[in-house]
Amino acid sequence: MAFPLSKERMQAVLLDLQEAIQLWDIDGQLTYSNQAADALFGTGDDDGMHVGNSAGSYFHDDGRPMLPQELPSARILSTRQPINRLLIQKVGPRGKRLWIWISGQPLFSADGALDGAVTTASDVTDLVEQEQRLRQLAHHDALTQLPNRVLLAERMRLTLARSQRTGEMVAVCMLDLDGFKLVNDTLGHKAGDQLLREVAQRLLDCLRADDTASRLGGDEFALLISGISKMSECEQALSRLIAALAKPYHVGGQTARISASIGVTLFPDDGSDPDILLRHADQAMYQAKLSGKNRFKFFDLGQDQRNQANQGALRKIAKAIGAGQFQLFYQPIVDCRHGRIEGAEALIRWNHPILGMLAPSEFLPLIEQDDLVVELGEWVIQEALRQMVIWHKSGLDMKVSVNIAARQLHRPDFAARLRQLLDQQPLDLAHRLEIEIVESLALEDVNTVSDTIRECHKMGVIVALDDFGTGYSSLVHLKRLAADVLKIDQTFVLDMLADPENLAIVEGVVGLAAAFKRKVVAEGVESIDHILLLLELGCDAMQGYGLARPMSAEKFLDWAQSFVPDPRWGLAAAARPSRDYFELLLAEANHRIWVDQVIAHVRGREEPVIAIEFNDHKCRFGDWYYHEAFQRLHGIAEFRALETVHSNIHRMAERLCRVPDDQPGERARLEEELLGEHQKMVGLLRRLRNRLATENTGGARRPPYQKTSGEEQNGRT
Amino acid sequence: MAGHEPIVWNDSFVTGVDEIDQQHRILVNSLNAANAKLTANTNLELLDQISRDLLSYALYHFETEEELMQEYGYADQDVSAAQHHLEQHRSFSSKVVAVREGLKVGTLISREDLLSFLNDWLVNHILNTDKKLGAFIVAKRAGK
Repeated sequence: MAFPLSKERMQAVLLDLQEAIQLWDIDGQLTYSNQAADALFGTGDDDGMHVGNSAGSYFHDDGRPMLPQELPSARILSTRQPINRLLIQKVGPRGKRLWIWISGQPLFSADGALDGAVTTASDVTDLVEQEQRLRQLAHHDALTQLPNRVLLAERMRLTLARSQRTGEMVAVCMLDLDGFKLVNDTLGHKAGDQLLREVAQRLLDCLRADDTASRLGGDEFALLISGISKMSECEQALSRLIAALAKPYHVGGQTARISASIGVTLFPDDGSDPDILLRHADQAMYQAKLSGKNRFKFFDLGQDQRNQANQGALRKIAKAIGAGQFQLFYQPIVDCRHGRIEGAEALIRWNHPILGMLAPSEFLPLIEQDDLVVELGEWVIQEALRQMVIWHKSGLDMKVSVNIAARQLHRPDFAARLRQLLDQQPLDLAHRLEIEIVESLALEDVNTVSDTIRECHKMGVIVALDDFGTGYSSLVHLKRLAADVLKIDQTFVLDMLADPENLAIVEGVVGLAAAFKRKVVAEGVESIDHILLLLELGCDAMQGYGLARPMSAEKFLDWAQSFVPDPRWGLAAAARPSRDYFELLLAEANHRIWVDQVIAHVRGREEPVIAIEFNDHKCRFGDWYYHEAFQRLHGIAEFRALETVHSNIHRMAERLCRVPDDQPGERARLEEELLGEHQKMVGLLRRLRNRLATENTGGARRPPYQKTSGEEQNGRT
Repeated sequence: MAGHEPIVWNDSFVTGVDEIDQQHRILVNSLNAANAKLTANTNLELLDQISRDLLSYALYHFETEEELMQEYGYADQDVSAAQHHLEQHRSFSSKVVAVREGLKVGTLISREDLLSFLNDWLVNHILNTDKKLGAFIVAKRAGK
């Protein structure tokens, strides 16, 4: 001790201190208490804090009541250890709560024996309450007093952990108020705030103690509902919530109505991490809004998994573009009337390292709604142009058409990009490039598309409408789209021999193209019959397996260089033959199909039931033969010969159909006879057609490239 | 019209190869979703979306399986089984492409036909062909 103070001096100092000081004897009795201590502990009254007194009004900092032996003075005396800044609570007589820091030391006499204790204390109520407010603020939303995001995260952690122990489910929900903005706008922000507080209260009323309702901001809330054993329980709880929130609110002196859209995901069915759970719930909430609001919707985990897998597929395609796995094949478009190659359509293939060569129909639909299709489309244009330059070096200069997806076409910079790609090439290829757009997609936004087509025209690029006939264009659309070429969809062409309505469509499109002075190309020609019929209808340019399959660029060069037009095309190439010729052509095709159908039916294959017309006067050929053509053509020997053969065929077909199943030998014999007779008929039909053709033209006119003199070919292609 | 019950994933579907099983679950899921959403009057948009999902599935799932086949030499073990497996894959893709071709010209596949197709696929290919492949791969992975 540096400066011994006199007793009087000490007392004066102690009395004045703001800090409360108390001295205790070894029995825990208070021997001295300064003014501050009297004020703090009420030792002036009988509320003093000493051992003898009931310590009931003192509490630990966590709210537990303090037992007598736990009182600071008692502890110091019993443990002979100091205490430092112990935080305790005191509740005054009128319930006023005080927070007090207490420190203290044991006192020893000169000989080391315990002599008593001294404690000092300060009132830290303000400090503590301030800190509590801050903590509350840190964890709770200021307006509604609901837990905020920070506390929500903590609650989620606890709730999910508990759920894993108990095996019960937890519903993680995101709730959004519908129509809240309107309330704010019409009744003012104060009313809006009131409403939010009311919403918070209703949420708390509907939920149980273990559940959590938190406000994330604005009109967004997150809920945790635990202890669910069945989905139906969750549904019921949410229904009650929705109903409660939909009841009217009285705010700002008016009645306001809002509703709630809730998205839910159930843990552990959805076993994601907490932030993902919230994201899932949010996605589901968005769906609830889209479906009409004022409802709840569960997150569709299955749908999400599907979406993720699909995204994965997209990424694979993106990688494939970079890895050069795509390749262009080319299919020739041939003008069969003039016997020359019109051009080639570039068709994309995916040389998949595992799955092999994939056709565009297997992957294009997946990227059509993604910008990836634009990237791929630009690659196609670039690659086609590059190929055209290579071919040019070998003397092959023809039109190449590329398919463009709607998404790519709709981009405002489409024409500009096209210009750029064209400019990258050493040759000016614009006039030999054709853009093919699917008709139905072009119709989705006729204005934009027609503008783009115009811009293409300015560059000299040709535009074709692909799959024509499958969209629903009106004639006005056709006029406005100003496409140069119509490509008849292959489904009509493939079937036109057997289905008169498809034939009518093909005829119609050809006529339409002619009327609008556009070019027309038929896709999907499979056989010489198709070609001849199309030529007959006035369609010159064709594409299809019947001419050539799509092939690599190198093979295409070989094919083009050794191309020789089929002499049979000349049969129709003469001046437009008569209707009879056309009917004969049709007859040949139809009858073959008819015979095939008969045989198939007899062999018991699952063919749809066709009315097999056995009456030889009533089938289409018979009808034409006996009612129309007979008058005109009965003078021709081949025509007369047809009658017997045709009638034979019908009788044989009838007999064949009546052969019982247990006579396969008989059936086989009759089939052979039938086919033989059919061959005869085909031969006759062709000879007859030839007769009519040469008669019509006087035999003199022949297309320049025709090498043979028109002798018919035996058999079929 | 006979209704199809939703298919519940059970152990009989398990091939033992996680990557394959995970993706099979997605198909079962797609089948159940299609079952629930398609009504007697099928609509174009829905069929378009479903068929697109199936195309996507064919792409990523067949790649997974065929890659595993190559990795573990399935063809070396049983060339006809491997070929048969691949043929079935190609046939599935062709069927989906054909359905989409139909959609393009307004021929919508019926709910019955689509669900039967998927069901048959589940039963024939997944419970049979894929199980066989699964057993092979599991054995290989175990070091046999």
